[in-house]
Amino acid sequence: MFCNNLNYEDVKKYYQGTWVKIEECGERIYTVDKVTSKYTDLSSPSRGEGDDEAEIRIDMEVGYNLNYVIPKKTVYQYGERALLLQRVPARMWRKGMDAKNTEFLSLDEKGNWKKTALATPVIEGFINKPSYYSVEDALVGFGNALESAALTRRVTLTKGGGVFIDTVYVGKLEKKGLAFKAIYESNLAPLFPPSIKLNPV
Amino acid sequence: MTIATHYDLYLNDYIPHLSKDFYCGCEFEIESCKKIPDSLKKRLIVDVDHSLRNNGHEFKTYPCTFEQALDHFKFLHETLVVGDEPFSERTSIHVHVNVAQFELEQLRQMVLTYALLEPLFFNFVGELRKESIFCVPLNYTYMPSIYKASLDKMVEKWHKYTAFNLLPIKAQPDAPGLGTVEFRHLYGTGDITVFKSWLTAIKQLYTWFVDNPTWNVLEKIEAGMSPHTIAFLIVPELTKGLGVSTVNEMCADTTLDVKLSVGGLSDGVKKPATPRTRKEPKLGELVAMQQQMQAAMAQQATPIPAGSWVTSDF
Repeated sequence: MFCNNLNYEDVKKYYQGTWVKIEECGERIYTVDKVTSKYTDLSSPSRGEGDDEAEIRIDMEVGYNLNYVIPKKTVYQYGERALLLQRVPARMWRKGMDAKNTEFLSLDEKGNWKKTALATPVIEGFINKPSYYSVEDALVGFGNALESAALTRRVTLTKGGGVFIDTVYVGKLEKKGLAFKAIYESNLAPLFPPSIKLNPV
Repeated sequence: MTIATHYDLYLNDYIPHLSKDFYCGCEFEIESCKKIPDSLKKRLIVDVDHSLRNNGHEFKTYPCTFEQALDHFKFLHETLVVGDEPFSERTSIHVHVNVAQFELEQLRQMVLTYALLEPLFFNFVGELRKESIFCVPLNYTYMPSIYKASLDKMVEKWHKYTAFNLLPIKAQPDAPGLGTVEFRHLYGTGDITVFKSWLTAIKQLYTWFVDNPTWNVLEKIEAGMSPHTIAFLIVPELTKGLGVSTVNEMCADTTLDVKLSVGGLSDGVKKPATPRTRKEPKLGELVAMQQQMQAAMAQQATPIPAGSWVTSDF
Protein backbone atom coordinates (compact mmCIF):
# COMPACT_ATOMS: atom_id res chain seq x y z
CA MET A 1 0.00 0.00 0.00
CA PHE A 2 1.52 3.32 -1.05
CA CYS A 3 1.26 5.64 1.94
CA ASN A 4 1.32 9.41 1.60
CA ASN A 5 -0.44 12.52 2.84
CA LEU A 6 -3.45 11.86 0.59
CA ASN A 7 -4.37 8.60 2.30
CA TYR A 8 -2.82 9.05 5.73
CA GLU A 9 -6.18 8.41 7.39
CA ASP A 10 -6.32 4.96 5.77
CA VAL A 11 -2.70 4.35 6.75
CA LYS A 12 -3.53 5.30 10.33
CA LYS A 13 -6.51 2.97 10.40
CA TYR A 14 -4.66 0.06 8.84
CA TYR A 15 -1.22 0.34 10.40
CA GLN A 16 -0.96 2.51 13.52
CA GLY A 17 -0.14 0.32 16.52
CA THR A 18 0.80 -2.73 14.44
CA TRP A 19 4.04 -4.56 13.67
CA VAL A 20 5.47 -4.34 10.17
CA LYS A 21 8.66 -5.22 8.36
CA ILE A 22 10.44 -2.57 6.28
CA GLU A 23 12.04 -4.10 3.23
CA GLU A 24 15.14 -1.93 3.28
CA CYS A 25 15.81 -2.60 6.96
CA GLY A 26 16.56 -6.33 6.86
CA GLU A 27 14.92 -8.70 9.30
CA ARG A 28 14.12 -6.12 11.93
CA ILE A 29 10.49 -5.63 12.98
CA TYR A 30 9.07 -2.17 13.63
CA THR A 31 5.97 -0.90 15.34
CA VAL A 32 4.06 1.88 13.61
CA ASP A 33 3.86 4.40 16.46
CA LYS A 34 2.14 7.40 14.93
CA VAL A 35 0.65 8.35 11.57
CA THR A 36 -0.06 11.97 10.67
CA SER A 37 -0.49 13.82 7.39
CA LYS A 38 3.16 14.88 7.62
CA TYR A 39 5.02 11.92 9.02
CA THR A 40 4.71 8.28 9.92
CA ASP A 41 6.96 7.28 12.81
CA LEU A 42 8.13 3.72 13.37
CA SER A 43 10.42 2.27 16.02
CA SER A 44 12.10 -0.97 16.94
CA PRO A 45 13.40 -1.70 20.44
CA SER A 46 16.97 -2.56 21.22
CA ARG A 47 17.73 -6.25 20.81
CA GLY A 48 20.26 -6.34 23.60
CA GLU A 49 23.63 -4.98 24.47
CA GLY A 50 25.35 -3.23 21.60
CA ASP A 51 22.15 -2.81 19.66
CA ASP A 52 20.47 0.58 19.73
CA GLU A 53 16.78 1.23 19.39
CA ALA A 54 15.99 1.98 15.74
CA GLU A 55 13.64 4.67 14.51
CA ILE A 56 12.29 5.49 11.07
CA ARG A 57 10.37 8.54 9.95
CA ILE A 58 8.47 8.41 6.66
CA ASP A 59 7.93 11.78 5.04
CA MET A 60 4.29 11.55 3.94
CA GLU A 61 4.78 14.24 1.31
CA VAL A 62 7.20 11.92 -0.44
CA GLY A 63 5.35 8.72 0.49
CA TYR A 64 6.49 5.13 0.89
CA ASN A 65 5.24 1.76 -0.30
CA LEU A 66 4.42 -0.15 2.88
CA ASN A 67 3.76 -3.58 1.49
CA TYR A 68 4.02 -5.76 4.55
CA VAL A 69 1.67 -8.74 4.53
CA ILE A 70 0.74 -10.86 7.52
CA PRO A 71 2.37 -14.25 6.91
CA LYS A 72 0.48 -17.46 6.33
CA LYS A 73 0.21 -20.12 8.98
CA THR A 74 3.54 -21.66 9.90
CA VAL A 75 5.44 -23.40 12.68
CA TYR A 76 8.96 -22.27 13.47
CA GLN A 77 11.56 -22.78 16.15
CA TYR A 78 11.92 -20.13 18.80
CA GLY A 79 14.52 -21.05 21.35
CA GLU A 80 13.54 -24.18 23.24
CA ARG A 81 10.02 -24.37 21.88
CA ALA A 82 8.20 -24.65 18.58
CA LEU A 83 5.86 -21.74 17.88
CA LEU A 84 2.83 -21.69 15.63
CA LEU A 85 1.87 -18.46 13.93
CA GLN A 86 -1.61 -18.29 12.47
CA ARG A 87 -4.00 -15.61 11.34
CA VAL A 88 -7.14 -14.91 13.29
CA PRO A 89 -9.66 -13.54 10.82
CA ALA A 90 -10.78 -10.77 13.16
CA ARG A 91 -10.16 -7.05 13.40
CA MET A 92 -9.44 -7.19 9.78
CA TRP A 93 -9.03 -3.54 9.02
CA ARG A 94 -5.56 -3.87 10.53
CA LYS A 95 -3.04 -4.60 7.79
CA GLY A 96 -0.03 -4.82 10.05
CA MET A 97 0.32 -7.61 12.57
CA ASP A 98 -1.36 -7.11 15.93
CA ALA A 99 -2.52 -9.18 18.87
CA LYS A 100 -6.03 -9.57 17.49
CA ASN A 101 -5.34 -10.62 13.93
CA THR A 102 -2.32 -12.84 14.52
CA GLU A 103 -1.89 -15.57 17.08
CA PHE A 104 1.33 -17.13 18.35
CA LEU A 105 1.07 -20.44 20.20
CA SER A 106 4.00 -22.18 21.83
CA LEU A 107 4.21 -25.94 22.39
CA ASP A 108 5.47 -27.18 25.72
CA GLU A 109 7.06 -30.56 26.42
CA LYS A 110 3.76 -32.12 27.46
CA GLY A 111 2.04 -31.20 24.24
CA ASN A 112 0.07 -28.16 25.39
CA TRP A 113 -0.29 -25.25 23.00
CA LYS A 114 -0.32 -21.98 24.89
CA LYS A 115 -0.83 -18.46 23.64
CA THR A 116 2.34 -16.42 23.60
CA ALA A 117 2.31 -12.67 23.92
CA LEU A 118 3.18 -10.86 20.72
CA ALA A 119 6.55 -9.23 21.11
CA THR A 120 9.17 -8.01 18.69
CA PRO A 121 11.67 -10.86 19.32
CA VAL A 122 8.94 -13.48 18.86
CA ILE A 123 7.95 -12.02 15.49
CA GLU A 124 11.57 -11.59 14.45
CA GLY A 125 12.11 -15.26 15.24
CA PHE A 126 9.75 -16.00 12.40
CA ILE A 127 11.03 -13.33 10.05
CA ASN A 128 14.63 -14.54 10.37
CA LYS A 129 14.27 -17.53 8.04
CA PRO A 130 12.59 -20.24 10.11
CA SER A 131 14.79 -23.20 11.01
CA TYR A 132 13.72 -26.80 11.38
CA TYR A 133 15.06 -29.72 13.33
CA SER A 134 15.60 -33.19 11.99
CA VAL A 135 14.10 -35.88 14.25
CA GLU A 136 17.59 -37.06 15.17
CA ASP A 137 18.71 -33.63 16.29
CA ALA A 138 15.48 -33.02 18.12
CA LEU A 139 16.04 -36.17 20.17
CA VAL A 140 19.50 -34.97 21.10
CA GLY A 141 18.04 -31.60 22.01
CA PHE A 142 15.42 -33.22 24.23
CA GLY A 143 18.29 -34.54 26.34
CA ASN A 144 19.11 -30.92 27.05
CA ALA A 145 16.72 -28.00 27.41
CA LEU A 146 14.67 -28.44 24.22
CA GLU A 147 10.94 -28.84 24.95
CA SER A 148 9.52 -29.09 21.45
CA ALA A 149 10.92 -29.06 17.93
CA ALA A 150 9.55 -27.72 14.67
CA LEU A 151 10.18 -30.43 12.05
CA THR A 152 8.45 -28.73 9.11
CA ARG A 153 6.18 -25.75 8.54
CA ARG A 154 3.30 -27.79 10.01
CA VAL A 155 4.76 -30.72 11.97
CA THR A 156 6.15 -30.58 15.50
CA LEU A 157 7.58 -33.10 17.98
CA THR A 158 7.59 -32.70 21.76
CA LYS A 159 9.98 -33.96 24.38
CA GLY A 160 7.16 -36.20 25.60
CA GLY A 161 6.99 -37.81 22.14
CA GLY A 162 3.82 -36.09 20.94
CA VAL A 163 3.63 -35.44 17.20
CA PHE A 164 1.42 -32.59 16.01
CA ILE A 165 0.19 -31.30 12.68
CA ASP A 166 -0.73 -27.70 13.38
CA THR A 167 -2.30 -28.07 16.83
CA VAL A 168 -3.77 -31.53 16.22
CA TYR A 169 -2.16 -34.42 18.11
CA VAL A 170 -1.62 -37.02 15.40
CA GLY A 171 1.14 -39.30 16.67
CA LYS A 172 3.21 -40.57 19.55
CA LEU A 173 6.88 -41.40 19.37
CA GLU A 174 7.78 -44.08 21.85
CA LYS A 175 10.30 -46.85 22.30
CA LYS A 176 8.46 -49.31 20.07
CA GLY A 177 8.16 -46.80 17.27
CA LEU A 178 5.90 -44.08 15.98
CA ALA A 179 2.19 -44.68 16.53
CA PHE A 180 0.21 -42.33 14.33
CA LYS A 181 -3.12 -41.87 12.60
CA ALA A 182 -2.72 -43.72 9.33
CA ILE A 183 -4.07 -40.99 7.09
CA TYR A 184 -1.04 -38.83 7.87
CA GLU A 185 1.52 -41.43 6.77
CA SER A 186 2.61 -39.56 3.64
CA ASN A 187 3.12 -36.42 5.71
CA LEU A 188 4.98 -38.00 8.62
CA ALA A 189 6.89 -41.01 7.27
CA PRO A 190 9.47 -38.98 5.30
CA LEU A 191 10.43 -37.10 8.44
CA PHE A 192 11.33 -40.11 10.56
CA PRO A 193 14.46 -42.18 9.91
CA PRO A 194 14.08 -45.83 8.86
CA SER A 195 15.28 -46.98 12.27
CA ILE A 196 12.02 -45.79 13.78
CA LYS A 197 9.26 -48.30 13.23
CA LEU A 198 6.05 -46.88 11.85
CA ASN A 199 2.89 -48.11 13.54
CA PRO A 200 -0.14 -46.62 11.81
CA VAL A 201 -3.42 -46.96 13.72
CA MET B 1 -32.20 -32.92 8.02
CA THR B 2 -31.86 -29.85 5.81
CA ILE B 3 -30.22 -26.56 6.72
CA ALA B 4 -33.60 -24.80 6.48
CA THR B 5 -35.22 -27.20 8.94
CA HIS B 6 -32.28 -27.50 11.28
CA TYR B 7 -31.86 -23.74 11.65
CA ASP B 8 -35.57 -22.98 11.42
CA LEU B 9 -35.06 -20.53 8.57
CA TYR B 10 -37.68 -18.21 7.19
CA LEU B 11 -37.72 -18.93 3.45
CA ASN B 12 -38.50 -16.01 1.18
CA ASP B 13 -40.68 -16.10 -1.93
CA TYR B 14 -37.86 -15.50 -4.39
CA ILE B 15 -36.88 -19.15 -4.39
CA PRO B 16 -39.45 -21.82 -5.29
CA HIS B 17 -40.37 -23.97 -2.31
CA LEU B 18 -37.79 -26.74 -1.65
CA SER B 19 -35.94 -25.90 -4.87
CA LYS B 20 -32.39 -27.17 -5.17
CA ASP B 21 -31.71 -25.13 -8.29
CA PHE B 22 -28.85 -22.65 -8.11
CA TYR B 23 -29.95 -19.39 -6.51
CA CYS B 24 -27.59 -16.66 -5.45
CA GLY B 25 -27.51 -13.15 -4.10
CA CYS B 26 -24.71 -10.81 -5.16
CA GLU B 27 -23.23 -7.74 -3.49
CA PHE B 28 -21.30 -5.39 -5.75
CA GLU B 29 -19.17 -2.70 -4.06
CA ILE B 30 -18.37 0.33 -6.18
CA GLU B 31 -16.67 3.61 -5.29
CA SER B 32 -16.87 6.97 -6.97
CA CYS B 33 -20.58 6.68 -7.77
CA LYS B 34 -21.63 9.87 -9.58
CA LYS B 35 -25.25 9.16 -10.45
CA ILE B 36 -27.49 6.27 -9.39
CA PRO B 37 -30.54 6.15 -11.66
CA ASP B 38 -33.97 5.37 -10.18
CA SER B 39 -34.29 2.37 -12.49
CA LEU B 40 -31.31 0.86 -10.70
CA LYS B 41 -32.79 1.57 -7.27
CA LYS B 42 -35.96 -0.23 -8.31
CA ARG B 43 -34.07 -3.28 -9.44
CA LEU B 44 -31.35 -3.61 -6.80
CA ILE B 45 -30.98 -2.78 -3.12
CA VAL B 46 -28.70 0.25 -2.93
CA ASP B 47 -26.86 1.06 0.30
CA VAL B 48 -24.22 3.59 1.22
CA ASP B 49 -21.15 1.67 2.35
CA HIS B 50 -19.06 3.55 4.87
CA SER B 51 -16.10 1.26 4.44
CA LEU B 52 -15.80 2.61 0.88
CA ARG B 53 -14.61 6.03 -0.27
CA ASN B 54 -15.78 8.69 -2.70
CA ASN B 55 -19.48 8.05 -2.43
CA GLY B 56 -19.01 4.30 -2.40
CA HIS B 57 -22.13 2.16 -2.55
CA GLU B 58 -23.11 -1.45 -2.27
CA PHE B 59 -25.58 -2.81 -4.81
CA LYS B 60 -27.33 -6.01 -3.77
CA THR B 61 -29.47 -8.32 -5.83
CA TYR B 62 -32.46 -10.15 -4.46
CA PRO B 63 -32.16 -13.96 -4.62
CA CYS B 64 -31.80 -14.77 -8.31
CA THR B 65 -30.74 -17.42 -10.80
CA PHE B 66 -27.38 -17.58 -12.53
CA GLU B 67 -28.74 -15.86 -15.64
CA GLN B 68 -30.56 -13.19 -13.67
CA ALA B 69 -27.37 -12.41 -11.73
CA LEU B 70 -25.54 -11.82 -15.01
CA ASP B 71 -28.40 -9.58 -16.22
CA HIS B 72 -28.28 -7.56 -13.01
CA PHE B 73 -24.52 -7.15 -13.38
CA LYS B 74 -24.87 -5.90 -16.97
CA PHE B 75 -27.71 -3.53 -16.07
CA LEU B 76 -25.77 -2.15 -13.09
CA HIS B 77 -22.74 -1.28 -15.14
CA GLU B 78 -24.71 0.04 -18.08
CA THR B 79 -26.75 2.47 -16.01
CA LEU B 80 -24.53 3.52 -13.10
CA VAL B 81 -22.46 6.65 -13.71
CA VAL B 82 -19.06 6.42 -12.04
CA GLY B 83 -16.01 8.67 -11.75
CA ASP B 84 -12.34 7.76 -11.67
CA GLU B 85 -11.24 4.54 -9.98
CA PRO B 86 -14.57 2.94 -9.09
CA PHE B 87 -12.80 -0.35 -8.25
CA SER B 88 -10.11 0.40 -5.67
CA GLU B 89 -8.62 -2.36 -3.49
CA ARG B 90 -11.36 -1.62 -0.98
CA THR B 91 -14.08 -2.89 -3.30
CA SER B 92 -15.12 -6.47 -3.80
CA ILE B 93 -17.94 -8.69 -5.01
CA HIS B 94 -19.56 -11.14 -2.61
CA VAL B 95 -21.73 -14.01 -3.80
CA HIS B 96 -24.19 -15.70 -1.46
CA VAL B 97 -25.31 -19.17 -2.56
CA ASN B 98 -28.54 -20.68 -1.29
CA VAL B 99 -27.86 -23.99 0.47
CA ALA B 100 -31.05 -24.08 2.54
CA GLN B 101 -32.12 -27.41 1.05
CA PHE B 102 -28.76 -29.13 1.60
CA GLU B 103 -28.52 -31.83 4.22
CA LEU B 104 -26.15 -30.95 7.08
CA GLU B 105 -23.51 -33.49 6.05
CA GLN B 106 -23.87 -32.48 2.40
CA LEU B 107 -22.93 -28.91 3.32
CA ARG B 108 -20.13 -30.07 5.58
CA GLN B 109 -18.69 -31.98 2.62
CA MET B 110 -19.05 -28.88 0.46
CA VAL B 111 -17.06 -26.91 3.05
CA LEU B 112 -14.31 -29.55 3.08
CA THR B 113 -14.21 -29.75 -0.70
CA TYR B 114 -14.00 -25.98 -0.94
CA ALA B 115 -11.19 -26.10 1.66
CA LEU B 116 -9.27 -28.56 -0.52
CA LEU B 117 -9.74 -26.47 -3.66
CA GLU B 118 -9.33 -23.05 -2.00
CA PRO B 119 -6.00 -22.32 -3.73
CA LEU B 120 -7.77 -22.56 -7.11
CA PHE B 121 -10.35 -20.00 -6.04
CA PHE B 122 -7.54 -17.66 -5.00
CA ASN B 123 -5.62 -18.43 -8.15
CA PHE B 124 -8.60 -17.11 -10.09
CA VAL B 125 -8.88 -13.83 -8.18
CA GLY B 126 -5.13 -13.27 -7.96
CA GLU B 127 -2.51 -13.42 -5.26
CA LEU B 128 -3.27 -9.92 -4.03
CA ARG B 129 -6.65 -10.98 -2.72
CA LYS B 130 -4.95 -13.45 -0.37
CA GLU B 131 -3.55 -10.38 1.33
CA SER B 132 -6.94 -8.75 1.67
CA ILE B 133 -8.00 -8.39 5.24
CA PHE B 134 -11.61 -9.07 4.37
CA CYS B 135 -11.26 -12.48 2.71
CA VAL B 136 -8.62 -14.46 4.58
CA PRO B 137 -7.88 -17.94 3.19
CA LEU B 138 -9.05 -20.69 5.55
CA ASN B 139 -5.65 -22.29 5.06
CA TYR B 140 -3.95 -19.31 6.76
CA THR B 141 -6.03 -19.63 9.91
CA TYR B 142 -6.95 -22.00 12.71
CA MET B 143 -10.02 -23.17 10.76
CA PRO B 144 -8.56 -26.53 9.61
CA SER B 145 -8.35 -27.61 13.25
CA ILE B 146 -12.18 -27.47 13.44
CA TYR B 147 -12.86 -29.38 10.21
CA LYS B 148 -13.39 -32.53 12.26
CA ALA B 149 -16.29 -30.89 14.07
CA SER B 150 -19.96 -31.13 13.20
CA LEU B 151 -21.46 -28.37 11.08
CA ASP B 152 -23.00 -26.80 14.18
CA LYS B 153 -19.64 -26.62 15.92
CA MET B 154 -17.97 -25.33 12.79
CA VAL B 155 -20.43 -22.45 12.55
CA GLU B 156 -19.85 -21.60 16.21
CA LYS B 157 -16.14 -21.12 15.56
CA TRP B 158 -16.38 -19.56 12.10
CA HIS B 159 -15.50 -15.97 11.29
CA LYS B 160 -17.19 -13.68 8.78
CA TYR B 161 -14.00 -12.33 7.24
CA THR B 162 -12.83 -15.67 5.94
CA ALA B 163 -12.97 -15.86 2.16
CA PHE B 164 -15.56 -18.63 2.40
CA ASN B 165 -18.09 -17.53 4.98
CA LEU B 166 -20.29 -20.17 6.55
CA LEU B 167 -22.01 -17.91 9.08
CA PRO B 168 -25.04 -16.82 6.99
CA ILE B 169 -26.50 -20.33 7.04
CA LYS B 170 -28.02 -19.56 10.45
CA ALA B 171 -29.15 -16.51 12.39
CA GLN B 172 -26.34 -14.62 14.12
CA PRO B 173 -26.69 -12.05 16.91
CA ASP B 174 -26.34 -9.24 14.37
CA ALA B 175 -27.83 -10.85 11.25
CA PRO B 176 -30.77 -13.02 10.23
CA GLY B 177 -30.22 -16.58 8.99
CA LEU B 178 -30.12 -16.58 5.20
CA GLY B 179 -29.49 -20.24 4.47
CA THR B 180 -26.52 -19.20 2.33
CA VAL B 181 -22.77 -19.55 2.19
CA GLU B 182 -20.80 -16.54 1.02
CA PHE B 183 -17.86 -16.36 -1.38
CA ARG B 184 -16.00 -13.11 -0.60
CA HIS B 185 -12.94 -13.55 -2.80
CA LEU B 186 -13.64 -11.55 -5.93
CA TYR B 187 -12.25 -8.04 -6.34
CA GLY B 188 -14.44 -5.18 -7.51
CA THR B 189 -14.82 -5.22 -11.28
CA GLY B 190 -17.14 -4.16 -14.07
CA ASP B 191 -15.86 -6.90 -16.38
CA ILE B 192 -18.73 -9.27 -17.18
CA THR B 193 -16.34 -11.95 -18.45
CA VAL B 194 -14.60 -12.12 -15.09
CA PHE B 195 -17.85 -12.12 -13.15
CA LYS B 196 -19.44 -14.76 -15.37
CA SER B 197 -16.45 -17.05 -15.05
CA TRP B 198 -16.40 -16.60 -11.26
CA LEU B 199 -20.11 -17.27 -10.92
CA THR B 200 -19.75 -20.31 -13.17
CA ALA B 201 -17.12 -21.80 -10.86
CA ILE B 202 -19.33 -21.24 -7.82
CA LYS B 203 -22.32 -22.74 -9.60
CA GLN B 204 -20.23 -25.77 -10.59
CA LEU B 205 -19.26 -26.36 -6.97
CA TYR B 206 -22.88 -26.07 -5.84
CA THR B 207 -24.26 -28.23 -8.61
CA TRP B 208 -21.75 -30.99 -7.90
CA PHE B 209 -23.23 -31.43 -4.45
CA VAL B 210 -26.79 -31.38 -5.74
CA ASP B 211 -25.92 -34.11 -8.24
CA ASN B 212 -23.68 -36.05 -5.84
CA PRO B 213 -25.27 -35.65 -2.41
CA THR B 214 -23.24 -38.44 -0.80
CA TRP B 215 -19.86 -37.24 -2.08
CA ASN B 216 -17.21 -37.60 0.61
CA VAL B 217 -14.00 -35.81 -0.23
CA LEU B 218 -11.94 -37.51 2.46
CA GLU B 219 -12.82 -40.94 1.12
CA LYS B 220 -11.62 -39.83 -2.31
CA ILE B 221 -8.35 -38.50 -0.92
CA GLU B 222 -7.80 -41.72 1.02
CA ALA B 223 -8.54 -43.69 -2.14
CA GLY B 224 -5.75 -41.80 -3.87
CA MET B 225 -7.75 -39.36 -5.98
CA SER B 226 -5.54 -36.35 -6.68
CA PRO B 227 -6.58 -32.73 -6.07
CA HIS B 228 -6.37 -32.14 -9.82
CA THR B 229 -8.82 -34.92 -10.57
CA ILE B 230 -11.20 -33.65 -7.90
CA ALA B 231 -10.92 -30.08 -9.18
CA PHE B 232 -11.39 -31.13 -12.78
CA LEU B 233 -14.55 -33.03 -11.82
CA ILE B 234 -16.07 -30.37 -9.61
CA VAL B 235 -14.86 -26.93 -10.71
CA PRO B 236 -13.44 -27.32 -14.23
CA GLU B 237 -13.77 -23.55 -14.70
CA LEU B 238 -10.95 -23.07 -12.21
CA THR B 239 -8.59 -25.61 -13.75
CA LYS B 240 -8.47 -23.94 -17.15
CA GLY B 241 -4.87 -23.49 -18.23
CA LEU B 242 -3.48 -25.30 -15.19
CA GLY B 243 -1.48 -28.52 -15.49
CA VAL B 244 -1.96 -31.60 -13.35
CA SER B 245 1.17 -31.11 -11.28
CA THR B 246 0.47 -27.41 -10.84
CA VAL B 247 -2.94 -28.07 -9.32
CA ASN B 248 -1.61 -30.89 -7.16
CA GLU B 249 1.20 -28.72 -5.83
CA MET B 250 -1.13 -25.79 -5.22
CA CYS B 251 -3.43 -28.01 -3.16
CA ALA B 252 -0.80 -30.00 -1.23
CA ASP B 253 -1.19 -27.90 1.89
CA THR B 254 -4.98 -27.84 1.77
CA THR B 255 -5.04 -31.62 1.24
CA LEU B 256 -3.41 -31.88 4.65
CA ASP B 257 -6.04 -29.45 6.00
CA VAL B 258 -8.81 -31.76 4.83
CA LYS B 259 -7.06 -34.80 6.30
CA LEU B 260 -7.23 -33.01 9.64
CA SER B 261 -11.00 -33.45 9.48
CA VAL B 262 -10.25 -37.04 10.59
CA GLY B 263 -8.86 -35.57 13.78
CA GLY B 264 -5.93 -36.86 15.76
CA LEU B 265 -4.88 -39.89 17.73
CA SER B 266 -7.35 -39.13 20.49
CA ASP B 267 -10.27 -39.06 18.04
CA GLY B 268 -11.90 -42.44 17.60
CA VAL B 269 -8.90 -44.62 18.37
CA LYS B 270 -7.21 -45.70 21.53
CA LYS B 271 -4.92 -42.93 22.66
CA PRO B 272 -1.38 -44.07 23.34
CA ALA B 273 0.18 -43.39 26.69
CA THR B 274 -0.22 -39.77 27.66
CA PRO B 275 2.78 -37.52 27.22
CA ARG B 276 5.26 -37.89 30.02
CA THR B 277 4.44 -35.98 33.09
CA ARG B 278 7.78 -36.18 34.80
CA LYS B 279 9.99 -33.13 34.50
CA GLU B 280 13.25 -34.85 33.68
CA PRO B 281 13.57 -36.64 30.33
CA LYS B 282 14.60 -40.25 30.18
CA LEU B 283 18.07 -39.47 29.05
CA GLY B 284 19.18 -43.05 28.80
CA GLU B 285 16.28 -43.85 26.54
CA LEU B 286 16.94 -40.86 24.31
CA VAL B 287 20.61 -41.60 24.04
CA ALA B 288 19.85 -45.23 23.21
CA MET B 289 17.47 -44.16 20.43
CA GLN B 290 20.03 -41.71 19.11
CA GLN B 291 22.74 -44.39 19.09
CA GLN B 292 20.40 -46.79 17.37
CA MET B 293 19.64 -44.23 14.66
CA GLN B 294 23.26 -43.24 14.22
CA ALA B 295 24.14 -46.88 13.75
CA ALA B 296 21.43 -47.21 11.13
CA MET B 297 22.56 -44.04 9.39
CA ALA B 298 26.17 -45.11 9.38
CA GLN B 299 25.17 -47.87 7.02
CA GLN B 300 23.75 -45.31 4.60
CA ALA B 301 25.81 -43.44 2.00
CA THR B 302 25.33 -39.94 3.37
CA PRO B 303 24.98 -39.69 7.12
CA ILE B 304 23.44 -36.56 8.55
CA PRO B 305 26.03 -34.74 10.65
CA ALA B 306 25.16 -34.55 14.31
CA GLY B 307 23.80 -31.19 15.32
CA SER B 308 22.85 -30.21 11.79
CA TRP B 309 19.80 -28.05 11.08
CA VAL B 310 17.49 -28.49 8.20
CA THR B 311 16.48 -25.05 7.03
CA SER B 312 13.89 -23.99 4.59
CA ASP B 313 12.92 -20.75 2.90
CA PHE B 314 9.41 -19.84 1.92
